Amino acid sequence: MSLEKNKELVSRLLERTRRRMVDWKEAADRGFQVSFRNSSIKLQELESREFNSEYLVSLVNAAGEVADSFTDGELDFSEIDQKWHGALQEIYNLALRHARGADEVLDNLLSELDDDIPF
Amino acid sequence: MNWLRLHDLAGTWADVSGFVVSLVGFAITFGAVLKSKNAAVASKEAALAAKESIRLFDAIQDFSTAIAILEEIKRVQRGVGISETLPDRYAAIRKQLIMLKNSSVPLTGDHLTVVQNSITNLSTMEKLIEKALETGAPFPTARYNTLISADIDKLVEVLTFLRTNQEKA
Repeated sequence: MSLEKNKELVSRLLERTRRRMVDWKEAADRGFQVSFRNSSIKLQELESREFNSEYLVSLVNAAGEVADSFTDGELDFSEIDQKWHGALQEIYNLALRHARGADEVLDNLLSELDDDIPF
Repeated sequence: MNWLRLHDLAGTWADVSGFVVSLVGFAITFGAVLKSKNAAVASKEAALAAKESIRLFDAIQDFSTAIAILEEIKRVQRGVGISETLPDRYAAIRKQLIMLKNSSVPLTGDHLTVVQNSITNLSTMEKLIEKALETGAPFPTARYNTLISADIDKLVEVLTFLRTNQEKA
């Protein structure tokens, strides 16, 4: 089965997540999820045997059921480098920061510290 | 009249006056038709507005019920942990939210996203509770209640929006 659409989805997700345009939230089953009007995407980190984490992407339909899922391993199957593993790892780390508000707190702190410099 | 009779124009006068009378009659009939048409349009618009208002009222009721059930789920989970009835409650509330999302209630894109996020959470939790009931796996009550609380907060925002719309209507 061709995974071109899945790869396109991951690419767009990475690009938008980098630009802080994706509202990632913590998911009930660990990991993170982002919802749209009629679907959601869930991203989970799975422990693999080689001590190397694996990422699972689940596509959720309007009823909340998982309609499809794929891993970075499946995307990287025919690739020379592990570029999709790297992409999903970056999304996961950015999603974690977004869901916990890390960047917002950091921005606020920097702003506060900037304002309080007594000159 | 005599002059008309003398000049043999009585028939013509009758024709002219008849024409004038029929013109006036037509104008009166046209006015009446126009008036009744406007009244029909106005009554149709009023009926549509009433229907829309009832739909909005139902949606507000359904959202309020959904939020109350979510609060109840939190209390049950905090009190007795998981029970056989929990998955059914999750399924019921999820179906209610799906129906609200598919109804013709005027929700914004952001509101639909809020409801979809809640549906996704409820579906995931429902499955994990079923699994926990079957296998005896640990049940993260605090984590689930935190997620449900976050969903409730967002659903309250949607409810407030609908109530504001109702007041405007």
